[in-house]
This record gives sequence, structure tokens and C-alpha cells, in this order.
Amino acid sequence: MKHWRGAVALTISSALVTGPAVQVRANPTAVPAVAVCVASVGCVVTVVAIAGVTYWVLSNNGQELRIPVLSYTPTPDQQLEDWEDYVWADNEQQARRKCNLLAEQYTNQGGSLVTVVRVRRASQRGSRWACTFRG
Amino acid sequence: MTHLIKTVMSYPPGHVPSGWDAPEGYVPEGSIEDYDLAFAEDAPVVGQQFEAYGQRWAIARVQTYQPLNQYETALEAFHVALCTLDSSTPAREPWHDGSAPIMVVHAASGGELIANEVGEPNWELVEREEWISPAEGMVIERLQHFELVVERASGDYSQVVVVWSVIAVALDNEAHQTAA
Repeated sequence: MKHWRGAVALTISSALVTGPAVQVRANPTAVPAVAVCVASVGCVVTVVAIAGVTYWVLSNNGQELRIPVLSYTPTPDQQLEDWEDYVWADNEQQARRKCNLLAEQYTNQGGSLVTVVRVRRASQRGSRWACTFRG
Repeated sequence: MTHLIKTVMSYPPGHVPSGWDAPEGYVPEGSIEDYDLAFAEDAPVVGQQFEAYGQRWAIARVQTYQPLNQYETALEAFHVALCTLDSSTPAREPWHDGSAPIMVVHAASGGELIANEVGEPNWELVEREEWISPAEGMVIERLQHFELVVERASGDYSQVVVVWSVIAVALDNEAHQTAA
């Protein structure tokens, strides 16, 4: 387990990790709670991988919090970003299908793969749904 | 023990309920669904009836997801209660690509559901577990996983994940107290 104190890329060497060491490329200061912990005396940030999911582990005063690392490994010349767009749909299945159709359109327009990360209803009671894309 | 219930109210195909937020002239392609999410003391039962949105609904089918890991909230199960106006079992649309998403519910570790920006329970469909992110202003404390105990039907999820979180500022305060 590596303790975080300012590096940008971490190599996980925890006993919890099986297989080859995993390189995590994620900026800890982009996650507010992790940034607070890094800047605080007595709060220690570590990284572990459990069941295939990588977590920031914030240890402070005997308490421990885990935050999934939204990690992806961009190629050096391709920085991935997330954005939202909206669709109108009757139900969750249809919303997800329409989000995926939009992702295909983005992929065709931009020439690089765009994927749907999440889908959520964006109106209190209605047909407006938000799609989060990554590409 | 507590149950978490997602109530799916399925309107007849083509019907747009009153008060529905949609563009003028919106024509449904299929069945509009209304959703509610709540903790309950008891599991839903097929045949139960209730009033919502000025209509009388009947539970036509219940899909139950059992927890894979226990957590101190003692959440016994997650249920999807499929409801219709005439007690018939709704024909839900299948997931378009044949692969079901993860149903993610955001809850506070104190035992309440976290509201989204429109004041509704914060739930979403996520494609991969590592893409689950905390609700705004929250820090994830634990993930609790639920899986179907029966054969998956059309519209069911690959799994359900309840994201138990605490307010980020609480950690901030603790850190400062320790530093002091």
C-alpha cells in the first residue's frame, strides 16, 4: 500500500492486489475530500484495489473512507473528458438506448470512441434524461 | 430489517399522463414509466394497491435483489415493484444491446436517500462499477451490492449498488480538528 504525499501517478503494491502492479493515473486533488486529506496533518491517503475496483482510502483518526478512483488510462496524446447531454425518453431502457445512439453520433463525428458512462432522469416527473459521455 | 423499493409505474402504451414534463406534442414510442424510490419496513407484495399521481396502481410483479455483502444499515433487500393500472404484468422494454446496466442508488450513511438537483431520490444507470462516482458534496463510505436471486427478466439490472456516503465537509472538519 502506497501512502500519498504529492506524486501524480501511483503504483499500487498492496497485498490486496493480485496480478501485476496497477498504474493509477488520477489527480487526487481533483477529488475534494482527497485534496483535503492530502493537505491535512494526520490524514493519510492510500490506494487499494478490491475486487477489481481501485479506491482512494482516507484514514483519519481511526476512521477510514473509500472513494472509487475514477481512473482511466488516457494515451499521452488523448485526454479523455466527461460531458452531459440530454434525451427525451419514455422510460429508462429507452433513455439508455438513446444515450448510446448519441454516443455513436459523437464517435462518428469526432473519429474517436465516445462511451456512455451513466444515465439519469433529469426532470422531477417527465421524459428528460441526462446522459454522461466520456471520450 | 429495511427494504429498498424502486416502484415502476408503467402507463398504457402511448399514454402521456397529466403533469408530465415533455416537449409539446410529445408522442411516446412505448410505455411511459414513473419511478419512485423509498425505504420500507416490508417487502412489496404482488396485488398490493396504492394511490399515486391521481391514479390507483396495483403491483403486478416484484423482482428482488439480495445483498452480496452485509452492512450495518441492515438493508435486507432491493426490490423492483412493477405496477400497472389494470394489474396486468407490464411488458418492459429490453436493454437495447442485451447487456443490462448497474442500477446505482445514492444513500446517506445515516439511512436516508440522497436527493438529486430536482429533489428526487438520486439514482442512475451506470455501465461499469468503477465509473460510480459520489453524489455532489458526498464522500463514498461503502458500496453494498445486490443481485437477482431469480432469472433475469426484460429490463432487470445486472446488479444493484447502494452507495452509502457521508457529507464531505464532515471529513474536512475532522481533518482540521486533528490538525488542531
